[in-house]
Amino acid sequence: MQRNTEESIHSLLKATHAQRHAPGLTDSWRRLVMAEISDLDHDPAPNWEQLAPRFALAGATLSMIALIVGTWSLSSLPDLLYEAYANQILDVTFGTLRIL
Amino acid sequence: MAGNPDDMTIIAEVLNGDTDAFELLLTRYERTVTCVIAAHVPGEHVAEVSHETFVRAYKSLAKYMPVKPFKNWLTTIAARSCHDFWREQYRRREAPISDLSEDGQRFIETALLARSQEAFEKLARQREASELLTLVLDSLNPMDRMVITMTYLEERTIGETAQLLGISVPNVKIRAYRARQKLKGFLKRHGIHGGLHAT
Repeated sequence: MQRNTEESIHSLLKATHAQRHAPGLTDSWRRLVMAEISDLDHDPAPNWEQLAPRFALAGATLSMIALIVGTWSLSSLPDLLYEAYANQILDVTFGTLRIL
Repeated sequence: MAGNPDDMTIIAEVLNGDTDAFELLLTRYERTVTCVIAAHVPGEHVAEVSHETFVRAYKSLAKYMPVKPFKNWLTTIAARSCHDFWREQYRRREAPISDLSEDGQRFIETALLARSQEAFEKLARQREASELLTLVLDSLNPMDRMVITMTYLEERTIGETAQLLGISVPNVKIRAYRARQKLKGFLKRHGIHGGLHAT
């Protein structure tokens, strides 16, 4: 009985789905599609798309430059930090000695 | 272009700037595309989704690799356009999905008594059959809906479905299983017990 239920529901839904038929498309539909396609050629959007790799390359170059400049300018960071901490320690030490 | 040029010749012409040559592809494959689309979207939206499919195909033409026939490539775009159509429809949907009417309930009971294919085909022509199918599919999310239509209603293979929808084979299997469980739950709620067998 269960097997029959399964098959019945499946057969019914399949048969219902098979009833769907593609409507015929008209000449005006074809003209509309072709008109949109022709417009795409005159649209500036594809040109931007074509330029996309150049923008990507420019972006990558700028990032590389920023990275190199950043690395170069930050190379002295450990020294600056060391100097700052050393000064603080000296201040604290002399401050304490003065109190004593 | 003289005679009956093959797809690759037409594609080369289009890519060389002869936009009008695309009309040859349009007329050659509009039937294929509308058949795929009509199986997934309501009749009144077939022309609109077909239009979208050809525009997308034109935009992506430069990316077409002739490792598979142009027809298959176009079918894939058509299937994905249907999925996008449903995503948009579901996003706009405001009213909750209605439930099966008493007429629908009686219709299922009648259908369960049918034995022959002719009887099912006759029942399938009734308004209630179409409502039932719509209700069943509307209870699924857009991708599950596409998967169940292809695997369960059209009996396409898992591999073919995965390729058409651009998802992995395990993903199709999971979605098909989940969708069948949902359909099973739907039928159970209406007093119809029994599973939905995998194809």
